[in-house]
Amino acid sequence: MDAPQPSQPGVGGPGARLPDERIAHNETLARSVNEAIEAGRVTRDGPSPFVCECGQLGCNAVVELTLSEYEAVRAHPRRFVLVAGHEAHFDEVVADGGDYEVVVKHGVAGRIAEQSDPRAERSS
Amino acid sequence: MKTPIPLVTFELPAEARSVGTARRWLRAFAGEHGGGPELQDRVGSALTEALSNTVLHAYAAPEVGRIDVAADIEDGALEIVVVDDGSGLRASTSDHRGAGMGFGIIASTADAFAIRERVPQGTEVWLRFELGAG
Repeated sequence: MDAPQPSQPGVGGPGARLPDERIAHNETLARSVNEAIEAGRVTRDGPSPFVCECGQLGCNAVVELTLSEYEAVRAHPRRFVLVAGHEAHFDEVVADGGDYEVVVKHGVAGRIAEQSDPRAERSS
Repeated sequence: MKTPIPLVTFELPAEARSVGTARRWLRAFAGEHGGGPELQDRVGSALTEALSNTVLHAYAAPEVGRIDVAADIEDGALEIVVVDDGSGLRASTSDHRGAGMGFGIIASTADAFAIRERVPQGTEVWLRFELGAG
């Protein structure tokens, strides 16, 4: 199956045009999943699987990063890790990891990402 | 004398019909211990995802692995653990129905959750539902 083409405004999966707020909500859910995956890792060496943090409906893709690479993403509340090509119109690609890319979110999605950052909640 | 903690455990084959069986049993368990319809629906949704993940992705065909499920009531909450000894999460950037496995639905329906890697292999998904929340 070909990957959906997410680089269109309002992407939400094939045929869907989700509002930015909804996409941002889906992305923050994926981030919470990855935080749970990282917390549950026993093996700390080598690449670990993480879910794609794009907001597309039905995206279940998994990417591999080392934990230090993942921590570098999580160090910034507006940064997310996606399968390459899954960025939305409000995403700016700031790092290319090959199969994955790191984006920083702008606009309302960026604000939602920052307000819901679980690490900010933990450190406050 | 301490009151025993309500507990249910069972083992099922990692096949499609087990998803409905486990969901039905644990919805009933939630209902017996004060979980209302809304909570039972959330339990059902989260369990469907957790169990489907295992059935679809944990084991390589033709192997039919096993799923161990345990649930108890502690501190006013229903806690469920779904365990397999399969291959765990695997990278897949092209299979969009594949390995990422509906964890987003689990994250949005459970009051708390955890995903733990098992040694030497396998995955453990822990779910918590506050019984006073619906």
